[in-house]
Formats: sequence, structure tokens, C-alpha cells
Amino acid sequence: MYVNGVTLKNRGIPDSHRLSVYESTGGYQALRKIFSEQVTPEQVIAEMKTSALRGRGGAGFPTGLKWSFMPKGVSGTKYLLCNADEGEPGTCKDRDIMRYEPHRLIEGMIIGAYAMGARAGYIFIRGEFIEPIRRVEAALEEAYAAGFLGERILGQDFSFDLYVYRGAGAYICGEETALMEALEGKKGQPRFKPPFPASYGLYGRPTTINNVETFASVPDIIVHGGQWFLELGKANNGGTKIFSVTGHVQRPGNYEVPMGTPFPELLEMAGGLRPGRSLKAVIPGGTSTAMLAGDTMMDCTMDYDSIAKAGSALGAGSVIVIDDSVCIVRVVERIARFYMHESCGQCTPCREGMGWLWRVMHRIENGQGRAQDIELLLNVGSRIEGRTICALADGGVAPVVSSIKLFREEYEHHIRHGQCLVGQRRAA
Amino acid sequence: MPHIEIDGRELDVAAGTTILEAARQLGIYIPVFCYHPKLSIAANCRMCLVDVEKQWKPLPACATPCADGMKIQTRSAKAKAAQQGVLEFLLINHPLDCPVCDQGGECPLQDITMGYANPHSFYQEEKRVVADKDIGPLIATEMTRCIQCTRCVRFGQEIAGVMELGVVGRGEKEAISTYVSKAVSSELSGNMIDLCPVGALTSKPFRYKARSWELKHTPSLCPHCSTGCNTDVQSLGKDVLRVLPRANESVNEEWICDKGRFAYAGLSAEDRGLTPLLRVNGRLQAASWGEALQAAAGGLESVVRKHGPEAIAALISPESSNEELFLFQALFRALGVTHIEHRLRQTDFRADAAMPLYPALNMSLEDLERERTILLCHAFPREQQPLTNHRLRKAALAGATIYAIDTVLRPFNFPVQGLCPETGDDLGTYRRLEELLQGATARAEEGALARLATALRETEDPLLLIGNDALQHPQAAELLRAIQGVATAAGARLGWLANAGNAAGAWLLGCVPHRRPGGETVPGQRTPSWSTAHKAFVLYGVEPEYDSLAVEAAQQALQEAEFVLALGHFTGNLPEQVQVFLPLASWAESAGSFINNEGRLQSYRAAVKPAGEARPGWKVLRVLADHLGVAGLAFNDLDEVQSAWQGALGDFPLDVPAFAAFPELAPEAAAPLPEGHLRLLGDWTIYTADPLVRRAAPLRRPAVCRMHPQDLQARGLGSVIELRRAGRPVVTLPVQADASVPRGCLWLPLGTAESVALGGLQSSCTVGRASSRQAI
Repeated sequence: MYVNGVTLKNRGIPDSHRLSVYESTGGYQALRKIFSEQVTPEQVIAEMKTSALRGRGGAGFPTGLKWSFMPKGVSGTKYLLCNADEGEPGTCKDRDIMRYEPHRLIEGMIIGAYAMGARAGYIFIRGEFIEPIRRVEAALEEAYAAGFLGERILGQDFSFDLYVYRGAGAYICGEETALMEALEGKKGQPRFKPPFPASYGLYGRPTTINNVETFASVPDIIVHGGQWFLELGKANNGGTKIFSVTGHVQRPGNYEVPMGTPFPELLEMAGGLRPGRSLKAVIPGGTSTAMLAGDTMMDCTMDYDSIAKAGSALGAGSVIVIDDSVCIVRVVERIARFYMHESCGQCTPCREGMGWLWRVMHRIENGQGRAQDIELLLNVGSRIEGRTICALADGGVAPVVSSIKLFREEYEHHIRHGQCLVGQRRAA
Repeated sequence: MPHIEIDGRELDVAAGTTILEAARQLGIYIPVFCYHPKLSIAANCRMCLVDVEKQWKPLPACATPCADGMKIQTRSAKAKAAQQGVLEFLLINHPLDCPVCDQGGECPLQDITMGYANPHSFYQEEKRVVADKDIGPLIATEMTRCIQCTRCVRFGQEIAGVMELGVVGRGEKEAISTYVSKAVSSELSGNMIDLCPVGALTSKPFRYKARSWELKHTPSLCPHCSTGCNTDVQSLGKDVLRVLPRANESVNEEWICDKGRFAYAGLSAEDRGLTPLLRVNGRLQAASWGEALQAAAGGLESVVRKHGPEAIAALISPESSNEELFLFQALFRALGVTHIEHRLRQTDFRADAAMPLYPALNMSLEDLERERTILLCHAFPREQQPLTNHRLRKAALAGATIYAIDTVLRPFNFPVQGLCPETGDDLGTYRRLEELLQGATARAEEGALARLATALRETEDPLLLIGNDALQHPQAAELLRAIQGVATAAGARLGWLANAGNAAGAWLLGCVPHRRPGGETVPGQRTPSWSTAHKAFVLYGVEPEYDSLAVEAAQQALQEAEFVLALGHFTGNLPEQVQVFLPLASWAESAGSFINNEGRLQSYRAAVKPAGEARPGWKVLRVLADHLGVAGLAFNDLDEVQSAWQGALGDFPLDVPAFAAFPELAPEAAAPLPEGHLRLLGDWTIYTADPLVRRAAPLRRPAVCRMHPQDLQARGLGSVIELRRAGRPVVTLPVQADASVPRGCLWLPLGTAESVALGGLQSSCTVGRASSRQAI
């Protein structure tokens, strides 16, 4: 089993966040290779396409294709952004890349800037990530001092400046256009698309934005080739991916495994379930993805296509494992509160609907559910889904609808008896 | 050109057209809340969701551009479900207090609910309550009704140019707020009331006065500035209850300023003149029209007999209608009166011969938006012509560079490269600019002026606009000639920002001493209006102390007059020398026409009956003519007056030379200021500019004078100061530190009780710390 082989390669090495350690393990060789072998921006993008690297922030959009959307030959500044807002409940992978491999991220961004002709970049880091922010800032200083950033990088006719921006604690700022609004100093709320960032992004300029893990995958793709990366995973799902396994496992943590790894193997890596417990459900990609039944999950492999086929999404790879000790109603009530709190408020269905969903969930969880409440939840959900600017609302509806589909009897028990089915079983 | 289909009807649209625009072209209605054609697209209310073939999600029509082959359904099951869903979400937290909401009856949320909502709601939770904000005397808030469409926020940012309202909080706690509690002060703020699609922002002065469907609508015009905004005067019975903009893309688009919107409140002021008044035993007493007219005619005739008609000064407000202006001058010219004047805000008339036929913009307001380089010469249109200013702002946003030279740098709502000359050297600045344009080498300290010269030289056909402050300048004649010099040297076009509602009409119709209707020159020497050589004064819609620049001279001249006849709307500020007062119907109570800054002739109708015994000005003048035995003015209706003035004026051009030849101007040395004195500068503020707006209670703002912070510090002054001039009462005023006021000067708001007490803008005053915080 190939574990932690690409973006968290150096995690176990002391001082892996320092430039010297990174360089001693082959760091910045990709960048040097581009300059020494005179790799053109087009070749870089072609290599990215070959690698089948898909966006690691959650949407899984092919990175090479995204990079090819950046207009060429336009005058003025183009921007490259890194989404390090990592707000999806259950996700903690970008944090570890920034803590242990900040230079891998920076090198990936420099290569991206080279490929797309970006002059300036920002790393938008979740404000609570104090240690990762310090590490990335220190790494930027090292990179500037070593000539990897700034004017005429490594003496070439290529300049790129990179800055860190601290987020102020809104989940929605992980949405790419909301992130741009926030970077511009405005209230973080998503923009309507089109226009897409590639034509109208930060400050109205062509902009590309990728996740931390996506950028961190880039150096190895350049060094070893897109084909190598593709073959690490499976067709259309190239490379390795970090899964943040949390919940009821004995060794929660970040596991970087090849795309297509069977879920049971990942579960085993994470120490398996607690003794005597059975797998009830899994949220495979963070709380905004639909819940899957434990049995369904055991038949899945960890890649975009397999999870999508099972009716959910791989998302950012935040696998939340739920065993049979858990009341699903309670879990979903908590998730619904999160989405109510994090809705930016601009679109009517999300602003009004998220609170409505939570209030009904709250009622059911507290033994005051009404007979029609399940239908009401499904009905309200159906009027929110797909009717807003961004996907936050869809993400807020998914756990409610999917959990009703899977565990309807728990909801019914709550409503009928005013108490929890799981708790009773536990007591029995 | 994309070819699309909406509800089965096919259409070719221009690239970039949104679905909503395309639907409107076909006359297909799609409900909207956040969308407004004059604002940026937010796409946040989601009301306009439509069903687009091959898209799993319904798409917002307001923001989705048409793509070739798109098939759109606005009333399919999917579209209807989306619209019903959105409406239900909008309504779950909306108070549904329509019976007590002022928006009721003209509420898009109400209307669209009737047309599109599912009548059943499943919402049984508690509704949200949002704390109200006090955002000043004009806009009432009921924020629980807000549907967060952000039209008001976008209006502030995009149209008014000041972000006074914003969105705070997120999710269901999202609210429209000023953030730090403050009043909304933009001169365009009232438009937010019109834009608000619910009853969250309503008109405070109109609150609970009437339901919208009870109101009579009368198409009208705004009389307050030379933009000539089109308005809709809404009345119930004898009262004007509100004034709203009437859309006219070529004039005011669909906005009006707060002055035009709320000044109607002054119509019912306590001192509204409701009956003719006669001075008996030193006191003005109600009289019949017959008695008053007789007394008026008698008074004038006696002065004519004793001193000749040249001893009468006939002064008329430039807010009067063309009909009034024409009859006024016709009547007094027939009597032999030579001093007919509307310009009380000017003291230097040496350049009269050079003045244009009328102060014309020399272009359309719309074309103003397309200018590239504009120099504002002593102009502050933001307060003086707010909707003309809006066109300048649009030009600025479209990339125009706008420069301004003025005695005091004013707060524009768009980027302006301002030049504020050294104290007292306004003239020198223009002259120096002309020299630089002619190739003189700039001195090191002249950086800004040199840049302006370069910009003017490099722009093909730049535009210079002359504003109110130029005419009000003590050296107006030289200033205007210097401006003309700059224009010639720069190869620039010149336009005037006409300084009052119907200043164009006043010029064209001969309400100046030296010109008859149509501009024919009247030979002869001039005396100033406020001269003791005048033994009688006729004041038509004019309050001498509040509307004149030379207050002290006005008071003195009136003091020595033998007869003063006032015709007007209000009695409160009548000078004590007035012997006869004839009450006039206001613009809302009579019909007439105005000529705006572009030369656009527009007419208006009476919205309500005249207050009390007040009568339309043209009728009063006509009857006064009868009493004075003046023939030829026996008009029977307004149409006849209109034909008469149009016959006398003939066709007038829209594009007139900004200046004729200047006469020889004898150099006048400015008197040096006495030691320790501050030079007085000042202007009428937006809400003190005419008698009606001064009486509109919602628009009343405390008078505040302004000084340079260093002057304040150097003199050890606090926030309230005493202003002293020899022979005048001591005036106490709050003072605001303002670095845009030149050193050694004090900026005084004119048209206020304080400026009247101080005697207006008379060269200088001394200041001292106020002993206590009391008004005069």
C-alpha cells in the first residue's frame, strides 16, 4: 500500500516545513526542471491534463482543464489563488500540508503561475489556523530569500509574488467567489456565475483558484510526469488523495492513499471501528455530502466516480465514520445548525430555508416533532436545492434528505415517542 | 446573435442580453425583487427563476445571459414551483402587516404574492423580528419587513456614490444597517424609498398620511433647480402628500433628489400666505383682494409720480414660471420700470454685456455622460443640480477625468481633482491656467495646475462648466472673463450650470435689466438692485434677506424705500417695510412651464387648489396690470399667456455662445482684510436654497459654519463660536473643522437666520469662543 506518497511525503521528517529539508528531499526540482528543460506553459498544462488530477477542494474539477481556461495574451495582472480556508466539517488535510509541507504548496503555486501567466497570488488561509499561517509565512520568507519568489525567479524572465491572507472565520469564504469578495475586503458572499473567475475573478481580473492539496500535487507531477501520477490512482481519478478519517474509528487522522483504494482498507488503516460496534453510516466527503449507509460504503472505492455512483460525493475527502451508538437525528440536527449559521444570507431560499430546516430538526430531536415533519423537511429541502447562487444550500439539504432516506424509522420514532431509538437500544 | 425561445415564442437577441431583458422585449413578465435596470445585478432574491431546457436547476432570468438555442419556460411546472418556493421563503419571515404598512397597495411583494404564491404555507415557527434603525428624518424603517434584496445598498454604492447602508450579519441574521448608527445623508437618499420593494424603507414625512390608491397623480416638474426633473405630485383633497420622480430618461432617468422629493412639506408651513395683507398702523392685516390690489397699484403709482418709474426695482425669483416671468417684466416695462431683475445672488454685474442669451448647458444631459475631460469652474452641482451631478458622476465612472477649481473644495461623490486657489486668488488661478495653456513654463509649486493644463491640452474638445459660485463671486466679471480665457486657450467648449430652477426662462424672458425677451439689449446705466436710489421694491417670490447675497445692502435699501410690494408664498420672512402682500399659488397649485438648463421647455399642471385665497401668479399679475392701467396683458387663460411669451421670444437656440464680447473691466483691487479678521465665504446649502425648501421641516439641518482646523487651533476655538461684525448682532454658530476651507476664511451657510443676522457675505468678520452653547 502506497501511503502518504505525494503531498504529505515528508510528514514524518523532522523540520519538514523548512526549505532546507524540502530541498534535500527533491524540493523545487520541478521548478528547476521547468527552467532547465525549457518546459513551456502549454506543456505544463498538458502534463496536468494527463495526470487526471482533479480539484481536491471538493468539486473534483479536472485541474489541467481549469488551468487551460485562463485567457492568454491579455494585458494586466492575472491572479492565482490558493483556497486554504478548509472549513468543511470533517476536513483537516490542508492544515497538515501547510504545517508539514508548506514549500510543496508554494512550489505548486509557482508552477501554476508560470503555466497561467499569473503575476500575483494569495493564499487565503482559514483564520483559526494559527500554526499553519505561521509556517506558510515563514516558508514564503525562505522562498523569497532563495529567489523562488519575487522578481525574475531563478534569474528567469518570470516574476511572481505570493501573499498570505487570513480569513475571518466564515465557512462561505471557502466558496471560490466568496473568497474573492472577502479578499477584496467585502462581505464574503458568492458571486453569480457566469462570469467565471477565469474571465472575471479577483478585482475583475482573470483568476484561477485551486485547493492546497491540488497545488501540493503539482511538483511531483512535473518531476515524474502526468502518466506516473495517473497510474498511482485510476482512470479519470489520478494520483493519491488525502482522506481525513474522523468519527468512530480508533486512529482518526489524515491518510494519503491512491485514488480507488477500497473503503474497508481505509477504515482498517484508521484503526477500524471500536470493538463491538458496527458501521452505521459514513459521510464520505464532509458534512455537505449525502450520508451513505455503512453497507453501501463498504462496497465503495475511494474515488470520485465510485462515491458519486453510490449517491454521494467524495468532496474534500473528509470521511466521517458513524457507528451504531449514534442517533442520526441528533447528528443531522447539529449539521443543520451549522448550515443555518454559515449561510451567507444573500439568496432567499438558503437564508430562510436553512433556519426552517434546523427549527424542524430541533423540534424533532427534542421530542416535539409532528407527524408531518418528515414530509415538511423533504418539501422544504426540495425548494432550497438547486435554487441558490452557490452550493452551500445544497450541502445543507443533503444530510437532511439523505438521512431521512436511510434512517426514516429513527425520525419516526423520535416523532412518535418523543425520544431516541438509539438511546433506548443502548439502555436495553 | 443568439436565437432563443421563451414560452414558445422565438426571438433574436443581442449577445449578452439576459433572459429577463429578452422576456421584457417580448412583453413576457417575470417577477423580480432584487433586479433593477439601473443597478448592478445581484441575483439574490431568486424570484425570477425560470426553467431552461437542459438545465437541471432553474436559472435566474435577471443574471443569465441568453445562449444560442436556449429554450426558456417562465410558467412551466418547474418554473412555477421555483417561484412559489421562493415566495414562500420570502414570506415566512415577512410580518404580513399589510393593513398597517405604508407600502400596501404599491408593494411588489404584495402584488407578486397575489400572482405567484401558493396560498398555503407550512411554516409554523416563530417569525424573525429585526430591530429598527433611525436613519434620519426622511426614511422610516421597519426592518422586519426587509427581504434583503440589497437594492438600497447597491443604490448607495452605485448611484448616490456614498455607501451609507450596508449588509451586516449573515444567514438569517443578515440585516441592512448603517453599521455604526447614523443618519443617511445622501442628497439622493429618498430614491431608496422608491426602490425598496417592500415596506422596510418608507417615506417618514408621508407616513400614515394616506393609502397609495387614494392619491391623485399629477404630472409635474421640480421647480428647485435647473435640471428640471420630472415629478409626479400626489395629492389627496387640497393637500400635496408626496412628490415622486416621473421617469424621463433624458432628464432625471427615474430619480429625484431629496430637495425635490420633500420640499413639498413647506407648502403647508405655518407662515403660508393665505390672504392678501395690508399694513395698517404698522401691522400687516388681512385684507380683500380688491383692497390689496388697489393699495398695491396706488403705492406704485405714487412712487412713479414722485420719482419716476426708474425708482422702482422689480425683483422676481428665478423659480417662477415662464408665464410669470414674462408677465412680470411686461407689466413693469410697460410702466417704464427699468430695473427688472432675478439675480439677487450676484453682486458684480460689470460683465452683463458679455452674458449669454441664457445660461445653457449647450448639450443634452445625456451627452454629459460621454464627456472625457471636464473642468468645473466654481461649481458644486452635487448640491446645486443633484441630477445633473449624477450625469457627471456617470461620466466619471465611465472614465472621465473631472477637475474642479473653486474657492472652497467641495465634497463631490465622484473622484474630482480639486484645485483650491490661495485665499482670494481665484482669479489669478484661472489667469495662470490660461498662461500655462498658452505655453508658459510652470513653476515648481504649480504641479496640480500644470497637470490640469496638460490634461486640457491633450484632450480633444474638453468641457468647461461654469457654476453658481462663479456668479456669486465678488469679482464675478473678471472671473468669467478669465474662465473664457481658459476655454479659448484650451480649445474647450463652455457650458453653464444654470443657477436656479428657471434661470434660463428668466434670462430668455427678459427678467434682467439689460435685456428684453429674446435678448434684445436695453440701453442705459444700471444701479444695483439693493440701492437706495430705488424708492419702491416689488418682491416676487423673493425673501430679500434670505435670498440675497448682499443682505446688509438689502436691509438698508428697504429701510429707505417708500413703498414695498411683496408677492409670494410665505409671510414669515417679509421685511417690515412691506406694505402690501399678495399671496401666490405655489407651483403645485398652478400650471405653467419652465425652461431647464438644456433649454428644454417643459410644462406642468396644477395638482391641488391654491391654499387659502392665494391665486396663480399669472392671474395676479394680469389683474395688477388692470389696476395699473397697463393695456395688452388682458389674458383670459394660461394658453394665451403662453402664446404671448412664445411669440415675444420666438425660437431660441439650444446651443448658445457662452459669452459675448466682454466690456472693458477696470481693475478692482481687493481691500485688504483688517488685522485678525476672517474672510467670509459661503453658499446656500441644498436645503436653504429657496423659500419653499427652507420651510420643509424634514429637510431642516442645523446651520454649521466651517473653518480650517489649523485656524481653529491657532485661535483656540471650540465647537461653537461667536461671529462678530461691526454694527451687527453677535452670531453664535457651531463650527466644524474642515481642511477644505482655505486658511484665514470662514465658510458660512447662507439663507439661514444666522447668515441674515450677520448681514450675509460682507467681506469679513472676527470670531471668538462662544461663552455658552446658545443660538442667536
